[in-house]
This record gives sequence, C-alpha cells and structure tokens, in this order.
Amino acid sequence: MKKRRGIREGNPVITFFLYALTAFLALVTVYPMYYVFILSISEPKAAAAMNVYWIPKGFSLDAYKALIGDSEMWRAYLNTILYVVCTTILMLITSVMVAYPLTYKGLKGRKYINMFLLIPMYFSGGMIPAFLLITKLGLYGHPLSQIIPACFSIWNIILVKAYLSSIPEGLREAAKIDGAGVFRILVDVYLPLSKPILAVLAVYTIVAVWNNWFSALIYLPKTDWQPLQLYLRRVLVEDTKQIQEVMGPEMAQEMVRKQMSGAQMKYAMIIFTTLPVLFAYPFFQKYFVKGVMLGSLKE
Amino acid sequence: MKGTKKVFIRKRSPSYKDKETLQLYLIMLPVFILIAIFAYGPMFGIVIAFQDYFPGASFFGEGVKWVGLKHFDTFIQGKYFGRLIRNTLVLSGLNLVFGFLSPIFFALLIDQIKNLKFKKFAQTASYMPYFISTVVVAAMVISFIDQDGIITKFLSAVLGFPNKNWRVEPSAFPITYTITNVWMNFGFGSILYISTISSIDPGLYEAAKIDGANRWHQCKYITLPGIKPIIAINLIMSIGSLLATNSDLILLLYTPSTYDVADVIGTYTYRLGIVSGEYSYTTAAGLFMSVIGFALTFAANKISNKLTGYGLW
Amino acid sequence: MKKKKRKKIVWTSMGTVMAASLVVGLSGCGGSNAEKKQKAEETAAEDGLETVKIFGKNYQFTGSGGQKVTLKDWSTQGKSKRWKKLTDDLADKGVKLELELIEPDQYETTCQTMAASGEFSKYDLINISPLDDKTKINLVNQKQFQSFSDIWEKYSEGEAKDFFETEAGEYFKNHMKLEDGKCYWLSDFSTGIYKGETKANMAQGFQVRQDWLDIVGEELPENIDEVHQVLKKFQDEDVNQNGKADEAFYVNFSGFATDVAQWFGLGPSIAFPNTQDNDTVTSPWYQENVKKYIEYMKKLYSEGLLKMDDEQFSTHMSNNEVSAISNYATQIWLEPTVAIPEGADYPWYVPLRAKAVEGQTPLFRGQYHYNPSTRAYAVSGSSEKQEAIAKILDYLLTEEAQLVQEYGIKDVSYKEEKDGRKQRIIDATLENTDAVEIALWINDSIFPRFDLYKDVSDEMETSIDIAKDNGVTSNPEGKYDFMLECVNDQEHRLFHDDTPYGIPTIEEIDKQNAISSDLNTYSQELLSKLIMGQKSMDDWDSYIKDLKDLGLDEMISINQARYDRAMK
Repeated sequence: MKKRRGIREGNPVITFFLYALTAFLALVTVYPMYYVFILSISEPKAAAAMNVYWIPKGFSLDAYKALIGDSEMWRAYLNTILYVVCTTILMLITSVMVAYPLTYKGLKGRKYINMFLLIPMYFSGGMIPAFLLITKLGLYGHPLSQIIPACFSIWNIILVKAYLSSIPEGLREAAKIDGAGVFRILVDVYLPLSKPILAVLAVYTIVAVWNNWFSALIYLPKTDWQPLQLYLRRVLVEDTKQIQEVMGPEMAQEMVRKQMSGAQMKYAMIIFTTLPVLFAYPFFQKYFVKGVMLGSLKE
Repeated sequence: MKGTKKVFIRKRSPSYKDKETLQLYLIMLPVFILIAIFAYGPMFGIVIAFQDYFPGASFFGEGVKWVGLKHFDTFIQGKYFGRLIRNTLVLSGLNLVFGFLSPIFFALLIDQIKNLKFKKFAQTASYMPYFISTVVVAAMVISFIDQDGIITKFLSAVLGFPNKNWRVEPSAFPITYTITNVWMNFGFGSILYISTISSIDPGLYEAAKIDGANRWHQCKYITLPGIKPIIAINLIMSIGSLLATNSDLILLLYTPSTYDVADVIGTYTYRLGIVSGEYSYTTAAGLFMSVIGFALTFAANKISNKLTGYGLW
Repeated sequence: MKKKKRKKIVWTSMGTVMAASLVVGLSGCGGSNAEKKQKAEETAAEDGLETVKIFGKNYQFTGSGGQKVTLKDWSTQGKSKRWKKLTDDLADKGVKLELELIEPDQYETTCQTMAASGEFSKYDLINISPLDDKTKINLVNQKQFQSFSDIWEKYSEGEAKDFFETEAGEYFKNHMKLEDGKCYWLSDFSTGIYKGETKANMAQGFQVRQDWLDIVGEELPENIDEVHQVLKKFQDEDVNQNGKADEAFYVNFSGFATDVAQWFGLGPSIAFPNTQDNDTVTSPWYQENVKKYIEYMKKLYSEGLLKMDDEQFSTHMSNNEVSAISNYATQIWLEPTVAIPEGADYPWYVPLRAKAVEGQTPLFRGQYHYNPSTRAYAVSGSSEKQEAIAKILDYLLTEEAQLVQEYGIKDVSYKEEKDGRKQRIIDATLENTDAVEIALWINDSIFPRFDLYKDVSDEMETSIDIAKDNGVTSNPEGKYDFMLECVNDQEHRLFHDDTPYGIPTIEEIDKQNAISSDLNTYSQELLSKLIMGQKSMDDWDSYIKDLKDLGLDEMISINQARYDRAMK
C-alpha cells in the first residue's frame, strides 16, 4: 500500500519537470505582452526604435493620456460592450436551441438538418452580396447590423451538440418518466450540466465580438456606433506604410509623421483594449470546475 | 420493473414522438430562419465566380457577362498555381500537426498543475499572445530573427547557426510561421479542452488512483478518452480548413525572396486584389477552395465515424 | 431552489436582451429624427444657393505632435478660416456644399459597396479614387457617371474652359479621356516650374548622409566605386557608434526604382517609356546595363551595405542605421525621425548622381512638369447640378483658390518673407487648426487638387532653411544644388510613375490583369534573388525566356499603346 500511495502522489521529479515546462511556456507567452507594456510606457522615441527589452527606457504616459482624453474612444468602448453583451447572450441561446434537439438521435430529418448546417460553413457569396442583403433589410448604418448576423454560429452549434451528446441519456429518460416535456428536459437536465461548454462559448464569443472590426467597417459608415477595434485599427492601419503606391511628396511626408506619432500609440492601445478581455476569462474559469456532472448522477 | 417501463413507453410511442418532434423543430425554428436569411441569403453571390463582375453590375438577368469556368481556368493554369497549392498544404499541414496538438498537450499539462495560483497564472499567460494584434506580433518576430535579433543570437551561440537575417531565408520560413502561429493560438485553443476535462467525473480518477494508476495512466485511460469527442470534432473541422492559412501573418512576414515557400492562395489573391479589383477571380479562387474544403470535411467525418464512432453527425 | 435560480437566469437574460434592443431601437429612431431635423434646417437655409452633395473621404491631417485635424472638423466646428474662405467664395458664386464624409480606412470598402448598390445616384460629386479602372469604365457605360467634359464645356464661366484649352489642360484631358474622347472623372493635376521660367517638377534621388561623410572625411561620391567606398567606410568606422556594422543603404530592391538603377540608364518599372529612346516603351530587363547593375547591387548586398526597405524601415531610421535612402530630392521629413545620439550633428541626407558606366549619363526619376495623379472625382449620372459643379471647377482653377489650398490665409497659416517667398506656419499642437500645410479638401478627400502655380524653387529654398534651422553647417544647400542640376537637365529625366499613360480600354485591362500579377511576382522574386545571390546569373537566358512567356512583351505593347494615345 505504501508504494502505491507513493505513485499516486506523483513522482516528484516528473512533477518538477512538468512545473518547469509550464513555467517556461508561461514565460514565453507572458513576455511579449510585457514587452508591449514596457514599450507603451517608455519614452516615445525609444518606442519607435523598439529596442527596449527588459525595463522601460524613459517614462512617458503620453500615449495613454491621448487615448483616455479621446471622447470618441470612450463612445466606441461603450458600443463594444453593448455588442459584446447582446451578441454573447444571443449566441448562447441560439447555439443551445439548435444543439439540444440534435441530441435526439432519432430525430426525423436529421440528415437534412446536418446538410443545411454544414453548407454555409464553406460556401458564402462574399462581401458584396452580404452587404446588399443588409441594406435591403434596412440595417445599413444600424447597430443591429453588428448583432443579428453575428448572434449565431454553426461551428458553435456543432460544438455544443458534441458536448451535450456526452450527457448520459439515462438522465433524459429519468426526467421523461417524471413527466417532463421537451422544453422542461432542456431547462432542468441539460442546461445545468452545460455550464462548462456555455462558459467556453461565452469566452469565445466575447473575444470574437470584442476583436471584430470588419463588419463595422462595411456596415457602419458613421462613427457613432462604431466599435472599439475599428476605431483602434484606424489609428494602427494609418501608420502602416503603403509600399505599392507611388506617393506624392506630401503623402510621403504625412506617412512619416503618422508613423512617428503612432509608434507608441499602438502599444498603449493593445494594453488598453486587451485588459478587459483578459479579465473576462478568470471570471468564467470557475465554471470549468470538476464535479459538475457528479451532482446530477447522484440525483 | 424495467420490462414494464419499456411497454409503457412503446404504447405512448406514435403521437408522443410526433409531438416531441414538432416541439423540437419549433425550438430550432427561429435560428433556422436566421441561418436561412443571413447565411443562405447572400450565397447567390457565388455566381459572380462565373461572371465578369464589377461593383454596380447586376447578378442576374440582362447585362450580366457570363464567362463560365474562365476564372477557374486562369486560376488553375496560372504559372504559380502548383506552388501556391503546395505552400498552402505544407504550411497548413504543419499548422495542423503542431497547431492542433499543442492546445491538447497544454491542456493536459495544465491539468497536472495542482497549485491553483500558478495554474491560473499559467493559463492567463498562455492566451495573451492571442490578443496581441498580428501586426505587432509580426514586427516582434521580424526584429527577433533579424541579423542582430535575440533569437538569431541565441541560435548562433547555442547551436552554431550563422548570424543572418532569417526572415529572407526560404528554409526558415515554414518554421518561423508555424512556431509563431502555434505560439499565438495554443493558449486560447486549450480553453476548450480544459473545460471539457473539467466535466469528466472525478470519481473515475479516484477509482483509478486507488487501483494504483499513476499520472500517465490516468491521462491515457481517463482524460484522453474524455476529450476524444471534442478532439474528433475539432480535427474534422481543422482538416476541412486545410486550404485556409493565416494569410494576415504570412503577408506581414513574407518577402519576395521567400515567395517560393510562403506565397499561399490567400496572399496571392490579396496581391491580385490590389492590382485590379478582380472580384470574380478572387471569388472563383475562394469557391474552388471551399469545394475542396467541403469535400475534405466530408471525408474526414466519414473516417472519424468509422474509426472512433464520433463525427459531426 | 435550483428551479428558481434557473428561472431567474432565463428571465434576466431575456430582460437584458430586450432592454438592450430597446435602447438600440430608440437611439436608432432618435438618430433618424435628428437627421430629419438637420435636413429640414438645411432646406430652410438654402436661400437661393445650389446645394452640391458631395461624397468623399474624411481626410485627417496628423501634426508632428500627434494631434489630428479632419475635414469634418473643419466643416462642422467653424474654427477654420481657410474653410470659411472656401465656403464664402463658393457662396458668392451661388454654391453651397453638403458633405458626406467617411473615415479614410473605411473609404475604399464603402466606395465599392456604394457602387454595388447603386447609391452614387444620391450624390452629385463623388471621390471614386478607390475604384479600379475597369469598374470605373463599366460604371460610365452604365451611365452612373456623366461626362465632365460636357459640364465644363457647357457651363464654365471662364476659368475651366480656358484652362482646358491651354497646353497643360490639353495634356490633362488626354490623360483622362476615355475612348469617346470625353473625360468622365478628374484627377489631381500639378504643373511644375522653376523660378517662373524652366518647366520642371519634383525629382528623386539617392541620398547619403552628409554628416557621416564629414565624420569619415570623405567628399560626396561621384561614381559608383566611390559610393561603395563611402558606404563601406561608414560601417568600418562605425559612424553610428553602436558597435555593430549595421549602417546601410535601405531601398526596395525587388523593383528597379532604386535611383541607383537609373544611374545605369535603367527604367524604374517593368515596362516604362524610355525618354532616352524617343519614349519607346521597354523593360529594364532588356536594357544594356542591367547585368552590371545587378552585379553592383549584389556586391553591396553581400557586404551588408544594402538592405531591403520594408515595414521595419522607420525603426531602422530611428536607430540611426540608415546611411542612404532613395526618396524625393528635397525631402526634409525623414531626418527628424532619426534618434540622434548625444552631441552628434543633425542628420542630413544629400542627393547625388553617380557615374556608373562609361558612355552612360546617370539618369534620374522625376515628375513630368505636367503631373496628373491616380485619384478620381466624378459626377454622378443622375445629378442635375452641372452648373454648380462647373462653378466649383472654375473656382478651384483660380490662382486665389490655389493659394488658399496650398498655403492658406496670410499670417494665419503662412507668412510671406521679404523676398516674396511663402513659408507655411507649423503648429505641432494644431491649436491653429489651419496650420495643416495643404487644405484638407483637396488631399484625396472631396475635390481634385489643381496646383498650377507651383514653383519648385520654394521647396528647394525651404530645404536650405530647414538645414540652417537645425544647425547643419556642412552642405546645407546640398538638396538645392541637386534639384537645380535636375531642373536644368530635364533631358535625362525618366518618368517616376505610371501617370504618363492614358486610361486603358477594357480589353487592355483584361489583358494586363491576366499577365501582371504573375509577371510582377516573377520579376520581383527574380530581381531580389539575383541581388541576394540566391539565384545565379548564369541562367540569365532562361530568365528572359520566362519573362517573355509570362507576357513581358505584351505588357510593353499595351503600355506603348496607352502612352501614344495620351502623349502623341
């Protein structure tokens, strides 16, 4: 028994190795963010030269000051939060609404539904037809253009379905005996057990909506409803050199000015806009807790 | 008791099942409508792959210039087609192998960390790269592998590699791209697996430990089977997107001297789009890739179903 | 307990969604109400003025301090005196502007989607620069744009009609016209002159660090061997003192527009009109000295003296690593981006032409004295404001308008020196919203830029001023001297871009599109690899064969046709 207990605890050498490997990976992934952070608070010229590695060179909060003082930026922030909240909630609802019925293995028309879902994942008409549709629906320039087309995802449906399928059918049978109907089973049996996958979905959706700028680029011509990433990308992209074009002297000069002033801005922007999302994950982490299934089986 | 139950259900079978089916469809209906409108609606636009389209032209009816398979022809017979496909497959393939396995590996690794604080820190750190915009990541990578870059110096000091600008070296590109891609995505990709692992019944682990299973046994016989379905789904979808690459990253990292290994379908069509608004051509190229991707998914799903019993449907 | 919690969650989420959609819906309604109000106000305030609806880009000027001013700011905040002058002058002519401005990064996509949905008919004047030629021509055929030529011929009150009958105007027309001989869109147009006499425009050149030459005790190089020597010396003596041999000439050598190539008599693009050969279009790949050029660049590259100019360029500039550049001769905007070490002199790039091959005068790239651009502004087919637009055109062509546009208002955005020269006022904080160099309405925003009174001597003399302001004691007139040399040597000038060509026909576009991507990919790859030593010069003949197979000769003949149509 003693020997077995020793193995149960885990070989200390291997444990050390695993911890060391994890530490190495954590360092390798944390460092670049740290790098971006110190660039954002260094002296502007040092930020342009990009030669700070361990500690900031000089100190300057100018980039952050410029960001915070920009009222348009805050409006964009609010817009993004609105889009994130609405889209995520809707996404969870739509995913479950299709995934749950698909767990009924004998459901009539399954094959057709699967084909119906699979095709749009690969085939799409492109930007212009989508644009024409949105315009026809009267959503051009309207914030709903950012929420409604984005609130469902076939990939998420497939994912949730795969997860729900691993919930034992016995639970469903038990509930049926108790007289539960289809909807009741969903709410009483499946939903409580889906916390882990819903948490994952929430994180995915929050991140995706937070980072999205392309649909805003096409459908929101006025700055009122534009999200944060579009606003930030504007500043970031304006600094990228257009190598292809032969520029007139004034344009060339303008490019240089933009690059100089924008060099540090982009680092401050990354830090500023990433932090909220980074903190969203730990909040959802508590749903990835072992023992979620345990409770239901005992029932 | 069991026998009685079965008979009981069978008697209720016909109308009960129909009612159930109707209810289930009702639940799915709103979303189906959404999919029909927003996913199928714009699909008609695919026809421009068979036309000579320009913004402002109509899609059907008179005034439309139909050219049949002309764009596909141009695409497939282009001088660089072979190279583009090859590069796309190579880079995607590498990404598939390393990019697919690394989140799984990392999830398993994190599962072994018992110290909660350290675990949280490592997890949070791991998905930070995902949030740094590709532009900045590329700039960092370029400066790291430049002639005086940190990584270059490290490589020459430790492994004796020559000190040169690795960015313009064709042989270095696949490695650079893959490592950067993996680094950017493994943390975020592991979230899914970590959450699935958390839903595995802890009782199984307890029982295994009592039987004397060590770390590795627990992993092999409990954890891995527990996430097998999710792995299967993910793998099928990844194979389906074999012809898609992280074009953004490649665009930022490649140079004319590495076109040989770095130019993929996505970057080539991007360059084409700059020269001329070749809407039809790029749609045709995209359609070509979609058809292949669709076929690949189908095949992968069939194989997965046969081998593991798990599939998309 | 569990049921209650679940119900709570379900109701809360539904509640949130409903609340959110309410907010969104209300504000959406509110928005359109506000818009309706604004339109009502506008029609009420018309008072006899013709409103011209313009769809354009919200051009944004970035000051050296990072501050920004946009065209929208000018048109809505009422602080800009230059904007006031523009609108007042137009009002005097009976014209009022109504602007719909889109942010620059969205403009390209928005323009395309507007074209796709036929929205152009809502506006009178549109900035269609992001659209490619084929789309533009097709839209003209669809009658989405109307003839600009007809507009000025019928409705111009003088200036426009007169202008298009001058030599400059003829040149412009010939470069904008479609197959029916009419112009359906206008681009920018500048004419260059030196001290009111010699026809000349901006030139480009290879420029080396004068301050570094002083450190190593060398003169300005006069031939390619001396150039090589000087670049090598910079590295050997570590002039930037950072312990690394990183001082180099940064240029994009995957193409031929390197200025050094021009010393060998080569053209700057894959198919170019050779001014030295009666404007016959040819390719640098076919020219006599191309191998010698490649060998020279190869040598520089292998010694680490030549590096590729890419997105990292600004970082290298910052790090004081750039010994030489290829840019506009009178540029004074790159020097400030260098982070100078303590006690060092202000960096100063001086352009030069170096002798490369016996019997070949080093050529230079420069704008033709008549210089259109690639931008495009068109009048929508359904617009009925031809008279008003003609008046705008007349106004833009006056000297007064161009003064406001290029320099602004005296003592507000520019000062006049004793010798009559104009100096723009610079305000890094942009408190002075007019201190934005050229006006925000003509920089790829809403109006074409006519710059007919430009005297290049202004830029040249500004370069000396900047030098003196920054304490450059060694060769402050280096840029001036080089430009003067170019001004007086126009016969050795090569076109620096594609603007000499006329608008292509649809057949030409299709042919070109089929060839250009692969041809350009091949050419860029080949040139880079040859210079970098990754491909051998021995297989030269097979490379030329490949280029021909890819359609190089067809490209040449298409460009020749386009050139002849417009120039001859």
